[in-house]
Amino acid sequence: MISLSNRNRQTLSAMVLLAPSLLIFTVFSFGPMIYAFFLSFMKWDMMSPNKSFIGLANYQALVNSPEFWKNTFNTFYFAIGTVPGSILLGLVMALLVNNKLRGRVFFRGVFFTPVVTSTVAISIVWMWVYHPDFGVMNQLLQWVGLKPQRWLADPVLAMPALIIMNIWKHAGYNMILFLIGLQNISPTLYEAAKIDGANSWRSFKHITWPMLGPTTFFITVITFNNAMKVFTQIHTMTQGGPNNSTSVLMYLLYQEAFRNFRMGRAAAIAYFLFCFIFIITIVQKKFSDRKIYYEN
Amino acid sequence: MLVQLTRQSDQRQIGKIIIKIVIYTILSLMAVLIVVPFIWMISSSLKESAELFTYPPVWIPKRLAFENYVQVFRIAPFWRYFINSGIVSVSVMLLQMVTSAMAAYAFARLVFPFREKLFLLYLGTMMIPSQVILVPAFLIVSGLGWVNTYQGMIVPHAVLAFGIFLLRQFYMSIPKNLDDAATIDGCGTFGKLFRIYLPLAKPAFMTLALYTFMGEWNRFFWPLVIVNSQKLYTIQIGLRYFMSSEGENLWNVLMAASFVSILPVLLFFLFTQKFYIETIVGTGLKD
Repeated sequence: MISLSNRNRQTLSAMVLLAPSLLIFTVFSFGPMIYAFFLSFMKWDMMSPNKSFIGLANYQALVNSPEFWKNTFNTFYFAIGTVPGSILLGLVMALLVNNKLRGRVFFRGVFFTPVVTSTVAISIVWMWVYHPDFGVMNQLLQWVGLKPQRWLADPVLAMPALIIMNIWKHAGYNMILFLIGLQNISPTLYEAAKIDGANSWRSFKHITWPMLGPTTFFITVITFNNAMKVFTQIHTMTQGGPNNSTSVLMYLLYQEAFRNFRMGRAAAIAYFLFCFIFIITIVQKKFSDRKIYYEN
Repeated sequence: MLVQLTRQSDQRQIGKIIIKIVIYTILSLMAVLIVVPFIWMISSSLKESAELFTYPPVWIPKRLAFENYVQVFRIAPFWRYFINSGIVSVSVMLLQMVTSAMAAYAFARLVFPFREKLFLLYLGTMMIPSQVILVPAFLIVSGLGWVNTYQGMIVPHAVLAFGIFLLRQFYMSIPKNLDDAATIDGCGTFGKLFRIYLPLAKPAFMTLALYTFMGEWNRFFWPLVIVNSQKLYTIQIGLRYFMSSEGENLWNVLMAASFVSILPVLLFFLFTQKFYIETIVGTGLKD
Protein backbone atom coordinates (compact mmCIF):
# COMPACT_ATOMS: atom_id res chain seq x y z
CA MET A 1 0.00 0.00 0.00
CA ILE A 2 1.52 3.28 -1.05
CA SER A 3 1.65 5.61 1.88
CA LEU A 4 0.66 9.12 0.94
CA SER A 5 0.95 12.22 3.02
CA ASN A 6 -2.31 13.61 4.32
CA ARG A 7 -2.10 16.48 1.85
CA ASN A 8 -1.67 14.20 -1.11
CA ARG A 9 -4.47 11.97 0.04
CA GLN A 10 -6.82 14.92 0.25
CA THR A 11 -5.79 16.09 -3.19
CA LEU A 12 -6.41 12.65 -4.63
CA SER A 13 -9.80 12.43 -2.96
CA ALA A 14 -10.66 15.88 -4.25
CA MET A 15 -9.71 14.84 -7.76
CA VAL A 16 -12.00 11.85 -7.55
CA LEU A 17 -14.87 13.92 -6.16
CA LEU A 18 -14.50 16.70 -8.68
CA ALA A 19 -13.81 14.65 -11.78
CA PRO A 20 -17.41 14.05 -12.92
CA SER A 21 -18.56 17.65 -12.57
CA LEU A 22 -15.37 19.04 -14.05
CA LEU A 23 -15.71 16.75 -17.04
CA ILE A 24 -19.31 17.72 -17.67
CA PHE A 25 -18.57 21.41 -17.27
CA THR A 26 -15.64 21.22 -19.65
CA VAL A 27 -17.55 19.37 -22.35
CA PHE A 28 -20.89 21.13 -22.04
CA SER A 29 -20.16 24.58 -20.63
CA PHE A 30 -16.61 25.84 -21.13
CA GLY A 31 -16.06 23.95 -24.36
CA PRO A 32 -19.17 25.30 -26.05
CA MET A 33 -18.39 28.82 -24.84
CA ILE A 34 -15.05 28.77 -26.64
CA TYR A 35 -16.44 26.81 -29.58
CA ALA A 36 -19.16 29.42 -30.04
CA PHE A 37 -16.57 32.14 -30.30
CA PHE A 38 -14.72 30.45 -33.13
CA LEU A 39 -17.92 29.25 -34.74
CA SER A 40 -19.13 32.81 -35.15
CA PHE A 41 -16.23 33.44 -37.53
CA MET A 42 -17.04 30.44 -39.67
CA LYS A 43 -19.53 29.30 -42.19
CA TRP A 44 -20.86 25.81 -41.59
CA ASP A 45 -24.10 24.05 -42.32
CA MET A 46 -23.52 21.04 -40.11
CA MET A 47 -23.78 18.54 -42.97
CA SER A 48 -20.70 19.14 -45.07
CA PRO A 49 -17.32 18.44 -43.50
CA ASN A 50 -16.04 21.83 -44.66
CA LYS A 51 -16.06 24.64 -42.22
CA SER A 52 -14.76 27.74 -43.87
CA PHE A 53 -13.29 30.61 -42.01
CA ILE A 54 -14.99 33.78 -43.11
CA GLY A 55 -13.80 36.30 -40.58
CA LEU A 56 -16.29 38.93 -39.58
CA ALA A 57 -18.68 38.14 -42.43
CA ASN A 58 -21.38 36.75 -40.13
CA TYR A 59 -21.31 39.82 -37.94
CA GLN A 60 -21.28 42.09 -40.97
CA ALA A 61 -24.21 40.32 -42.57
CA LEU A 62 -26.21 40.74 -39.38
CA VAL A 63 -25.37 44.40 -38.99
CA ASN A 64 -26.47 44.97 -42.57
CA SER A 65 -29.67 42.99 -42.21
CA PRO A 66 -32.87 44.93 -41.42
CA GLU A 67 -34.36 41.70 -40.16
CA PHE A 68 -31.67 41.47 -37.48
CA TRP A 69 -32.36 44.99 -36.30
CA LYS A 70 -36.11 44.39 -36.28
CA ASN A 71 -35.51 41.38 -34.07
CA THR A 72 -33.23 43.42 -31.84
CA PHE A 73 -35.87 46.11 -31.51
CA ASN A 74 -38.54 43.53 -30.69
CA THR A 75 -36.32 41.92 -28.08
CA PHE A 76 -35.68 45.24 -26.34
CA TYR A 77 -39.35 46.15 -26.66
CA PHE A 78 -40.32 42.95 -24.90
CA ALA A 79 -37.68 43.30 -22.18
CA ILE A 80 -38.25 46.97 -21.47
CA GLY A 81 -41.99 46.42 -21.54
CA THR A 82 -41.80 43.60 -19.02
CA VAL A 83 -39.59 45.23 -16.43
CA PRO A 84 -41.70 48.05 -14.94
CA GLY A 85 -44.93 46.07 -14.81
CA SER A 86 -43.52 42.92 -13.25
CA ILE A 87 -41.47 44.90 -10.73
CA LEU A 88 -44.41 47.06 -9.70
CA LEU A 89 -46.74 44.09 -9.42
CA GLY A 90 -44.12 42.09 -7.52
CA LEU A 91 -43.57 44.96 -5.12
CA VAL A 92 -47.27 45.41 -4.45
CA MET A 93 -47.64 41.69 -3.86
CA ALA A 94 -44.69 41.68 -1.48
CA LEU A 95 -45.93 44.70 0.48
CA LEU A 96 -49.35 43.10 0.87
CA VAL A 97 -48.08 39.65 1.79
CA ASN A 98 -45.50 41.01 4.21
CA ASN A 99 -48.12 41.85 6.82
CA LYS A 100 -48.82 39.50 9.69
CA LEU A 101 -52.08 38.22 8.31
CA ARG A 102 -53.66 34.85 8.35
CA GLY A 103 -53.45 33.23 4.96
CA ARG A 104 -50.32 35.07 3.86
CA VAL A 105 -48.68 31.78 2.96
CA PHE A 106 -51.74 30.90 0.89
CA PHE A 107 -51.64 34.17 -1.04
CA ARG A 108 -47.88 33.92 -1.45
CA GLY A 109 -48.38 30.48 -2.97
CA VAL A 110 -51.11 31.66 -5.32
CA PHE A 111 -48.99 34.53 -6.57
CA PHE A 112 -46.05 32.22 -7.15
CA THR A 113 -48.00 29.57 -9.06
CA PRO A 114 -47.56 31.07 -12.55
CA VAL A 115 -43.79 30.90 -11.99
CA VAL A 116 -43.71 27.13 -11.53
CA THR A 117 -46.05 26.19 -14.36
CA SER A 118 -44.43 25.37 -17.66
CA THR A 119 -44.18 28.14 -20.21
CA VAL A 120 -45.57 25.93 -22.97
CA ALA A 121 -48.76 25.15 -21.07
CA ILE A 122 -49.13 28.79 -20.04
CA SER A 123 -48.61 29.90 -23.62
CA ILE A 124 -51.33 27.62 -24.92
CA VAL A 125 -53.76 28.71 -22.22
CA TRP A 126 -53.10 32.37 -22.97
CA MET A 127 -53.58 31.78 -26.68
CA TRP A 128 -57.08 30.74 -25.75
CA VAL A 129 -57.38 33.71 -23.35
CA TYR A 130 -56.46 36.02 -26.21
CA HIS A 131 -58.75 34.33 -28.74
CA PRO A 132 -60.30 37.21 -30.74
CA ASP A 133 -63.80 35.75 -30.79
CA PHE A 134 -64.21 33.50 -27.76
CA GLY A 135 -61.47 34.44 -25.33
CA VAL A 136 -61.66 35.85 -21.81
CA MET A 137 -59.55 38.92 -22.51
CA ASN A 138 -62.07 40.36 -24.90
CA GLN A 139 -64.85 39.55 -22.46
CA LEU A 140 -62.95 41.58 -19.87
CA LEU A 141 -62.52 44.46 -22.29
CA GLN A 142 -66.20 44.54 -23.08
CA TRP A 143 -67.05 44.61 -19.37
CA VAL A 144 -65.17 47.88 -19.04
CA GLY A 145 -66.64 49.22 -22.22
CA LEU A 146 -63.77 48.75 -24.66
CA LYS A 147 -63.86 47.14 -28.07
CA PRO A 148 -62.68 43.55 -28.52
CA GLN A 149 -59.26 43.21 -30.14
CA ARG A 150 -57.50 40.68 -32.31
CA TRP A 151 -54.54 40.46 -29.92
CA LEU A 152 -52.07 37.91 -31.23
CA ALA A 153 -53.30 38.41 -34.78
CA ASP A 154 -52.79 42.16 -34.62
CA PRO A 155 -49.26 43.34 -35.52
CA VAL A 156 -49.53 46.26 -33.13
CA LEU A 157 -51.06 44.45 -30.16
CA ALA A 158 -49.28 41.12 -30.39
CA MET A 159 -46.19 42.22 -28.50
CA PRO A 160 -48.09 44.05 -25.74
CA ALA A 161 -50.21 40.93 -25.38
CA LEU A 162 -47.07 38.86 -24.85
CA ILE A 163 -45.73 41.44 -22.42
CA ILE A 164 -48.88 41.31 -20.31
CA MET A 165 -48.65 37.54 -20.12
CA ASN A 166 -44.98 37.75 -19.15
CA ILE A 167 -45.70 40.23 -16.37
CA TRP A 168 -48.38 37.87 -15.07
CA LYS A 169 -45.96 34.99 -15.15
CA HIS A 170 -43.02 36.62 -13.38
CA ALA A 171 -44.52 38.98 -10.84
CA GLY A 172 -44.58 36.21 -8.25
CA TYR A 173 -40.86 35.60 -8.57
CA ASN A 174 -40.12 39.28 -8.06
CA MET A 175 -42.47 39.23 -5.10
CA ILE A 176 -40.27 36.66 -3.37
CA LEU A 177 -37.13 38.70 -4.00
CA PHE A 178 -38.84 41.82 -2.67
CA LEU A 179 -40.00 39.91 0.42
CA ILE A 180 -36.43 39.06 1.25
CA GLY A 181 -35.40 42.66 0.70
CA LEU A 182 -38.22 43.88 2.92
CA GLN A 183 -37.34 41.50 5.70
CA ASN A 184 -33.76 42.73 5.69
CA ILE A 185 -34.81 46.24 6.55
CA SER A 186 -34.14 46.78 10.23
CA PRO A 187 -37.37 47.40 12.19
CA THR A 188 -35.66 50.05 14.32
CA LEU A 189 -35.79 52.38 11.35
CA TYR A 190 -39.57 52.14 11.27
CA GLU A 191 -39.81 52.56 15.03
CA ALA A 192 -37.76 55.71 14.90
CA ALA A 193 -39.95 57.05 12.14
CA LYS A 194 -43.10 56.33 14.10
CA ILE A 195 -41.74 58.23 17.07
CA ASP A 196 -41.14 61.15 14.78
CA GLY A 197 -44.77 60.92 13.70
CA ALA A 198 -44.42 59.49 10.19
CA ASN A 199 -47.46 57.85 8.58
CA SER A 200 -47.40 54.79 6.31
CA TRP A 201 -46.85 56.60 3.04
CA ARG A 202 -43.97 58.68 4.40
CA SER A 203 -42.23 55.73 5.97
CA PHE A 204 -42.56 53.92 2.66
CA LYS A 205 -41.17 56.82 0.70
CA HIS A 206 -38.30 57.60 3.05
CA ILE A 207 -37.41 54.21 4.49
CA THR A 208 -38.80 51.27 2.55
CA TRP A 209 -38.18 52.45 -0.97
CA PRO A 210 -34.61 53.70 -0.45
CA MET A 211 -33.67 50.61 1.58
CA LEU A 212 -35.03 48.42 -1.20
CA GLY A 213 -32.61 50.05 -3.62
CA PRO A 214 -30.15 47.16 -3.98
CA THR A 215 -32.98 44.63 -4.15
CA THR A 216 -34.79 46.63 -6.81
CA PHE A 217 -31.62 46.92 -8.82
CA PHE A 218 -31.01 43.19 -8.60
CA ILE A 219 -34.58 42.39 -9.64
CA THR A 220 -34.42 44.84 -12.54
CA VAL A 221 -31.27 43.22 -13.86
CA ILE A 222 -32.60 39.68 -13.51
CA THR A 223 -35.98 40.49 -15.05
CA PHE A 224 -34.43 42.36 -17.94
CA ASN A 225 -31.83 39.70 -18.69
CA ASN A 226 -34.34 36.86 -18.64
CA ALA A 227 -36.78 38.78 -20.81
CA MET A 228 -34.08 39.43 -23.41
CA LYS A 229 -33.73 35.67 -23.83
CA VAL A 230 -37.41 34.94 -24.38
CA PHE A 231 -38.09 32.06 -26.75
CA THR A 232 -40.74 29.54 -25.74
CA GLN A 233 -43.70 31.90 -25.86
CA ILE A 234 -42.72 33.18 -29.29
CA HIS A 235 -42.23 29.69 -30.66
CA THR A 236 -45.56 28.51 -29.27
CA MET A 237 -47.85 31.50 -29.63
CA THR A 238 -46.84 33.59 -32.62
CA GLN A 239 -43.83 32.06 -34.39
CA GLY A 240 -42.50 35.57 -34.76
CA GLY A 241 -45.57 36.98 -36.44
CA PRO A 242 -47.75 38.69 -37.38
CA ASN A 243 -45.43 40.46 -39.82
CA ASN A 244 -42.33 39.75 -37.72
CA SER A 245 -43.73 41.98 -34.99
CA THR A 246 -42.89 39.43 -32.32
CA SER A 247 -39.75 37.87 -33.72
CA VAL A 248 -36.96 38.10 -31.15
CA LEU A 249 -33.24 37.35 -31.20
CA MET A 250 -33.49 33.88 -29.62
CA TYR A 251 -36.12 32.95 -32.16
CA LEU A 252 -33.93 34.26 -34.97
CA LEU A 253 -31.04 32.24 -33.56
CA TYR A 254 -33.21 29.13 -33.53
CA GLN A 255 -34.24 29.67 -37.12
CA GLU A 256 -30.71 30.33 -38.34
CA ALA A 257 -29.33 27.24 -36.60
CA PHE A 258 -32.11 24.72 -37.07
CA ARG A 259 -33.99 25.85 -40.16
CA ASN A 260 -31.35 27.54 -42.25
CA PHE A 261 -28.44 25.51 -40.88
CA ARG A 262 -26.19 28.53 -40.65
CA MET A 263 -24.32 27.65 -37.49
CA GLY A 264 -21.82 30.47 -37.70
CA ARG A 265 -24.57 33.01 -38.17
CA ALA A 266 -26.43 31.66 -35.15
CA ALA A 267 -23.30 31.87 -32.99
CA ALA A 268 -22.84 35.49 -34.03
CA ILE A 269 -26.43 36.29 -33.07
CA ALA A 270 -25.81 34.70 -29.69
CA TYR A 271 -22.78 36.88 -29.07
CA PHE A 272 -24.66 40.00 -30.17
CA LEU A 273 -27.40 39.17 -27.67
CA PHE A 274 -24.79 38.64 -25.00
CA CYS A 275 -23.26 42.05 -25.77
CA PHE A 276 -26.61 43.81 -25.64
CA ILE A 277 -27.40 42.28 -22.26
CA PHE A 278 -23.94 43.03 -20.96
CA ILE A 279 -24.00 46.67 -22.03
CA ILE A 280 -27.43 47.31 -20.55
CA THR A 281 -26.38 45.66 -17.29
CA ILE A 282 -23.37 47.97 -17.06
CA VAL A 283 -25.57 50.97 -17.81
CA GLN A 284 -28.01 49.90 -15.12
CA LYS A 285 -25.21 49.51 -12.63
CA LYS A 286 -23.82 52.99 -13.37
CA PHE A 287 -27.29 54.44 -13.05
CA SER A 288 -28.06 52.77 -9.78
CA ASP A 289 -24.67 53.38 -8.16
CA ARG A 290 -25.63 56.99 -8.03
CA LYS A 291 -28.94 56.27 -6.34
CA ILE A 292 -28.53 53.40 -3.94
CA TYR A 293 -28.59 53.94 -0.22
CA TYR A 294 -26.97 51.43 2.04
CA GLU A 295 -27.65 51.15 5.76
CA ASN A 296 -24.66 52.63 7.65
CA MET B 1 -59.94 63.04 30.24
CA LEU B 2 -60.29 59.28 30.59
CA VAL B 3 -63.17 59.38 28.12
CA GLN B 4 -61.04 61.20 25.58
CA LEU B 5 -58.20 58.69 25.87
CA THR B 6 -60.59 55.80 25.32
CA ARG B 7 -61.93 57.39 22.14
CA GLN B 8 -58.41 57.69 20.78
CA SER B 9 -57.57 54.03 21.29
CA ASP B 10 -60.95 53.03 19.84
CA GLN B 11 -60.17 55.02 16.75
CA ARG B 12 -56.85 53.29 16.41
CA GLN B 13 -58.55 49.89 16.73
CA ILE B 14 -61.08 50.74 14.05
CA GLY B 15 -58.30 52.11 11.88
CA LYS B 16 -56.41 48.85 12.17
CA ILE B 17 -59.45 46.81 11.25
CA ILE B 18 -60.17 48.97 8.23
CA ILE B 19 -56.61 48.58 7.02
CA LYS B 20 -56.89 44.83 7.44
CA ILE B 21 -60.08 44.73 5.40
CA VAL B 22 -58.52 46.84 2.67
CA ILE B 23 -55.47 44.62 2.49
CA TYR B 24 -57.53 41.44 2.35
CA THR B 25 -59.71 42.91 -0.38
CA ILE B 26 -56.79 43.89 -2.54
CA LEU B 27 -55.08 40.56 -1.92
CA SER B 28 -58.20 38.67 -2.92
CA LEU B 29 -58.69 40.75 -6.05
CA MET B 30 -55.10 40.18 -7.08
CA ALA B 31 -55.36 36.49 -6.32
CA VAL B 32 -58.41 36.28 -8.55
CA LEU B 33 -56.62 38.07 -11.36
CA ILE B 34 -53.66 35.73 -11.11
CA VAL B 35 -55.86 32.66 -10.98
CA VAL B 36 -58.28 33.61 -13.80
CA PRO B 37 -56.24 32.03 -16.61
CA PHE B 38 -56.09 28.77 -14.66
CA ILE B 39 -59.82 28.80 -14.04
CA TRP B 40 -60.38 29.59 -17.71
CA MET B 41 -58.20 26.62 -18.59
CA ILE B 42 -60.03 24.18 -16.33
CA SER B 43 -63.45 25.48 -17.25
CA SER B 44 -62.73 25.20 -20.97
CA SER B 45 -61.25 21.77 -20.55
CA LEU B 46 -64.60 20.50 -19.32
CA LYS B 47 -66.74 21.98 -22.05
CA GLU B 48 -68.25 20.25 -25.03
CA SER B 49 -66.96 21.61 -28.31
CA ALA B 50 -70.11 23.54 -29.13
CA GLU B 51 -69.94 25.38 -25.82
CA LEU B 52 -66.46 26.64 -26.60
CA PHE B 53 -67.57 28.79 -29.48
CA THR B 54 -70.20 30.88 -27.79
CA TYR B 55 -70.12 34.54 -27.03
CA PRO B 56 -70.19 35.77 -24.32
CA PRO B 57 -68.04 32.93 -23.00
CA VAL B 58 -69.58 30.46 -20.61
CA TRP B 59 -67.73 29.89 -17.35
CA ILE B 60 -69.56 26.92 -15.93
CA PRO B 61 -70.14 24.20 -18.52
CA LYS B 62 -73.64 22.74 -18.70
CA ARG B 63 -72.19 19.28 -18.46
CA LEU B 64 -68.73 18.33 -17.26
CA ALA B 65 -67.14 16.80 -20.32
CA PHE B 66 -64.55 14.57 -18.67
CA GLU B 67 -64.17 12.67 -21.92
CA ASN B 68 -61.92 15.50 -23.12
CA TYR B 69 -59.29 14.20 -20.78
CA VAL B 70 -59.63 10.73 -22.24
CA GLN B 71 -59.32 12.26 -25.71
CA VAL B 72 -55.98 13.78 -24.74
CA PHE B 73 -54.48 10.35 -24.29
CA ARG B 74 -56.20 8.95 -27.36
CA ILE B 75 -55.15 11.55 -29.89
CA ALA B 76 -51.52 11.65 -28.88
CA PRO B 77 -49.34 9.31 -26.82
CA PHE B 78 -49.32 11.54 -23.76
CA TRP B 79 -48.64 8.59 -21.49
CA ARG B 80 -45.42 8.18 -23.47
CA TYR B 81 -44.58 11.86 -23.10
CA PHE B 82 -45.14 11.59 -19.35
CA ILE B 83 -42.80 8.66 -19.10
CA ASN B 84 -40.13 10.46 -21.10
CA SER B 85 -40.40 13.58 -18.99
CA GLY B 86 -40.24 11.39 -15.93
CA ILE B 87 -37.14 9.56 -17.08
CA VAL B 88 -35.32 12.72 -18.04
CA SER B 89 -36.33 14.76 -15.01
CA VAL B 90 -35.57 12.05 -12.47
CA SER B 91 -32.23 11.20 -14.11
CA VAL B 92 -31.13 14.81 -14.20
CA MET B 93 -32.26 15.27 -10.63
CA LEU B 94 -30.26 12.25 -9.43
CA LEU B 95 -27.16 13.17 -11.40
CA GLN B 96 -27.23 16.73 -10.18
CA MET B 97 -27.62 15.56 -6.61
CA VAL B 98 -24.73 13.11 -6.88
CA THR B 99 -22.32 15.49 -8.59
CA SER B 100 -23.28 18.32 -6.23
CA ALA B 101 -22.84 16.16 -3.13
CA MET B 102 -19.39 15.09 -4.27
CA ALA B 103 -18.03 18.39 -5.52
CA ALA B 104 -19.46 20.39 -2.63
CA TYR B 105 -17.75 18.09 -0.13
CA ALA B 106 -14.40 18.58 -1.82
CA PHE B 107 -14.79 22.34 -1.76
CA ALA B 108 -16.11 22.45 1.78
CA ARG B 109 -13.88 20.08 3.68
CA LEU B 110 -10.81 19.11 1.65
CA VAL B 111 -7.62 21.05 1.19
CA PHE B 112 -5.97 20.89 -2.19
CA PRO B 113 -4.13 23.20 -4.58
CA PHE B 114 -6.16 25.73 -6.59
CA ARG B 115 -9.23 25.01 -4.50
CA GLU B 116 -10.47 28.60 -4.39
CA LYS B 117 -9.75 29.28 -8.05
CA LEU B 118 -11.52 26.12 -9.09
CA PHE B 119 -14.55 27.02 -7.02
CA LEU B 120 -14.67 30.42 -8.69
CA LEU B 121 -14.51 28.67 -12.03
CA TYR B 122 -17.48 26.51 -11.05
CA LEU B 123 -19.41 29.59 -9.98
CA GLY B 124 -18.41 31.17 -13.27
CA THR B 125 -20.48 28.62 -15.15
CA MET B 126 -23.53 30.34 -13.71
CA MET B 127 -22.42 33.49 -15.50
CA ILE B 128 -22.11 31.89 -18.90
CA PRO B 129 -24.92 33.19 -21.09
CA SER B 130 -27.13 30.25 -21.91
CA GLN B 131 -27.92 31.28 -25.46
CA VAL B 132 -24.24 31.38 -26.40
CA ILE B 133 -23.61 27.74 -25.55
CA LEU B 134 -26.86 26.33 -26.94
CA VAL B 135 -25.81 25.85 -30.56
CA PRO B 136 -22.26 24.62 -29.90
CA ALA B 137 -23.50 22.30 -27.17
CA PHE B 138 -25.93 20.90 -29.70
CA LEU B 139 -23.09 20.38 -32.17
CA ILE B 140 -21.02 18.60 -29.53
CA VAL B 141 -23.91 16.37 -28.54
CA SER B 142 -24.51 15.67 -32.18
CA GLY B 143 -20.87 14.77 -32.65
CA LEU B 144 -21.20 12.29 -29.81
CA GLY B 145 -24.08 10.68 -31.66
CA TRP B 146 -26.46 11.60 -28.90
CA VAL B 147 -29.07 13.44 -30.94
CA ASN B 148 -32.51 11.96 -30.38
CA THR B 149 -31.42 9.97 -27.32
CA TYR B 150 -32.16 10.09 -23.62
CA GLN B 151 -28.52 10.70 -22.76
CA GLY B 152 -28.50 13.68 -25.12
CA MET B 153 -31.25 15.23 -23.04
CA ILE B 154 -29.84 14.21 -19.68
CA VAL B 155 -26.06 14.38 -19.62
CA PRO B 156 -25.50 18.02 -20.61
CA HIS B 157 -27.54 18.99 -17.57
CA ALA B 158 -25.96 16.52 -15.17
CA VAL B 159 -24.23 19.22 -13.14
CA LEU B 160 -25.71 22.31 -11.54
CA ALA B 161 -23.28 24.89 -10.18
CA PHE B 162 -26.04 26.30 -8.02
CA GLY B 163 -26.47 22.88 -6.41
CA ILE B 164 -22.78 22.68 -5.62
CA PHE B 165 -22.91 26.14 -4.12
CA LEU B 166 -25.95 25.28 -2.03
CA LEU B 167 -24.55 22.05 -0.66
CA ARG B 168 -21.18 23.59 0.06
CA GLN B 169 -22.88 26.22 2.21
CA PHE B 170 -24.73 23.47 4.01
CA TYR B 171 -21.66 21.29 4.58
CA MET B 172 -19.68 24.23 5.91
CA SER B 173 -22.33 24.78 8.54
CA ILE B 174 -21.80 21.29 10.00
CA PRO B 175 -19.58 21.59 13.09
CA LYS B 176 -16.01 20.48 12.63
CA ASN B 177 -16.08 18.62 15.94
CA LEU B 178 -17.92 15.84 14.17
CA ASP B 179 -15.08 15.61 11.68
CA ASP B 180 -12.48 15.44 14.41
CA ALA B 181 -14.42 12.85 16.38
CA ALA B 182 -14.72 10.75 13.25
CA THR B 183 -11.01 11.04 12.52
CA ILE B 184 -10.20 9.85 16.00
CA ASP B 185 -12.44 6.87 15.37
CA GLY B 186 -10.36 6.11 12.29
CA CYS B 187 -12.81 7.38 9.69
CA GLY B 188 -11.36 8.42 6.33
CA THR B 189 -12.46 11.13 3.92
CA PHE B 190 -15.03 9.07 2.09
CA GLY B 191 -16.21 7.45 5.29
CA LYS B 192 -17.03 10.88 6.67
CA LEU B 193 -18.83 11.80 3.48
CA PHE B 194 -21.07 8.79 3.56
CA ARG B 195 -21.62 8.52 7.30
CA ILE B 196 -21.80 12.13 8.41
CA TYR B 197 -22.26 14.67 5.67
CA LEU B 198 -24.70 12.93 3.38
CA PRO B 199 -27.15 11.86 6.08
CA LEU B 200 -27.08 15.30 7.67
CA ALA B 201 -27.67 17.05 4.36
CA LYS B 202 -31.07 15.50 3.73
CA PRO B 203 -33.03 18.79 3.94
CA ALA B 204 -30.68 20.44 1.46
CA PHE B 205 -31.01 17.45 -0.82
CA MET B 206 -34.77 17.61 -0.70
CA THR B 207 -34.89 21.24 -1.68
CA LEU B 208 -32.33 20.70 -4.42
CA ALA B 209 -34.26 17.71 -5.72
CA LEU B 210 -37.47 19.72 -6.03
CA TYR B 211 -35.75 22.62 -7.72
CA THR B 212 -33.99 20.49 -10.31
CA PHE B 213 -36.95 18.22 -10.97
CA MET B 214 -39.26 21.11 -11.69
CA GLY B 215 -36.68 22.94 -13.76
CA GLU B 216 -36.08 19.90 -15.90
CA TRP B 217 -39.78 19.05 -16.27
CA ASN B 218 -40.49 22.51 -17.67
CA ARG B 219 -37.48 22.69 -19.96
CA PHE B 220 -38.31 23.44 -23.59
CA PHE B 221 -35.57 24.68 -25.92
CA TRP B 222 -33.10 21.88 -25.34
CA PRO B 223 -35.44 18.90 -25.84
CA LEU B 224 -36.93 20.76 -28.80
CA VAL B 225 -33.66 20.72 -30.72
CA ILE B 226 -32.29 17.41 -29.48
CA VAL B 227 -35.30 15.22 -30.13
CA ASN B 228 -37.02 14.71 -33.44
CA SER B 229 -38.95 11.48 -33.07
CA GLN B 230 -42.29 11.37 -31.35
CA LYS B 231 -41.48 8.45 -29.12
CA LEU B 232 -38.91 10.54 -27.26
CA TYR B 233 -40.91 13.74 -26.84
CA THR B 234 -41.04 15.11 -23.34
CA ILE B 235 -44.36 16.41 -22.21
CA GLN B 236 -43.57 20.02 -23.09
CA ILE B 237 -42.53 19.13 -26.62
CA GLY B 238 -45.45 16.75 -27.01
CA LEU B 239 -47.85 19.42 -25.84
CA ARG B 240 -46.39 21.95 -28.25
CA TYR B 241 -46.69 19.66 -31.26
CA PHE B 242 -50.10 18.50 -30.10
CA MET B 243 -51.24 22.09 -30.32
CA SER B 244 -49.99 22.66 -33.83
CA SER B 245 -51.32 19.38 -35.16
CA GLU B 246 -54.77 19.66 -33.64
CA GLY B 247 -55.45 23.13 -34.91
CA GLU B 248 -58.19 25.50 -34.10
CA ASN B 249 -61.13 23.48 -33.02
CA LEU B 250 -60.05 21.31 -30.17
CA TRP B 251 -59.46 24.02 -27.58
CA ASN B 252 -61.21 22.00 -24.90
CA VAL B 253 -58.94 19.01 -25.44
CA LEU B 254 -55.94 21.36 -25.64
CA MET B 255 -56.85 22.90 -22.30
CA ALA B 256 -57.21 19.43 -20.84
CA ALA B 257 -53.78 18.51 -22.18
CA SER B 258 -52.25 21.67 -20.76
CA PHE B 259 -53.78 21.03 -17.36
CA VAL B 260 -52.59 17.46 -17.35
CA SER B 261 -49.04 18.55 -18.17
CA ILE B 262 -48.81 21.10 -15.38
CA LEU B 263 -50.55 18.96 -12.80
CA PRO B 264 -47.52 17.00 -11.47
CA VAL B 265 -45.47 20.12 -10.91
CA LEU B 266 -48.43 22.00 -9.50
CA LEU B 267 -49.14 19.27 -6.95
CA PHE B 268 -45.46 18.99 -6.08
CA PHE B 269 -45.34 22.71 -5.54
CA LEU B 270 -48.51 22.97 -3.49
CA PHE B 271 -47.32 20.31 -1.07
CA THR B 272 -43.81 21.64 -0.67
CA GLN B 273 -44.35 25.35 -1.16
CA LYS B 274 -42.16 26.45 1.69
CA PHE B 275 -39.18 24.32 0.68
CA TYR B 276 -39.36 25.27 -2.96
CA ILE B 277 -39.65 29.01 -2.57
CA GLU B 278 -36.77 29.02 -0.13
CA THR B 279 -34.51 27.13 -2.51
CA ILE B 280 -35.22 29.11 -5.61
CA VAL B 281 -34.04 32.21 -3.87
CA GLY B 282 -31.30 30.44 -2.00
CA THR B 283 -31.88 32.08 1.35
CA GLY B 284 -34.31 31.68 4.19
CA LEU B 285 -37.66 33.42 4.20
CA LYS B 286 -39.17 34.09 7.56
CA ASP B 287 -42.76 33.05 7.78
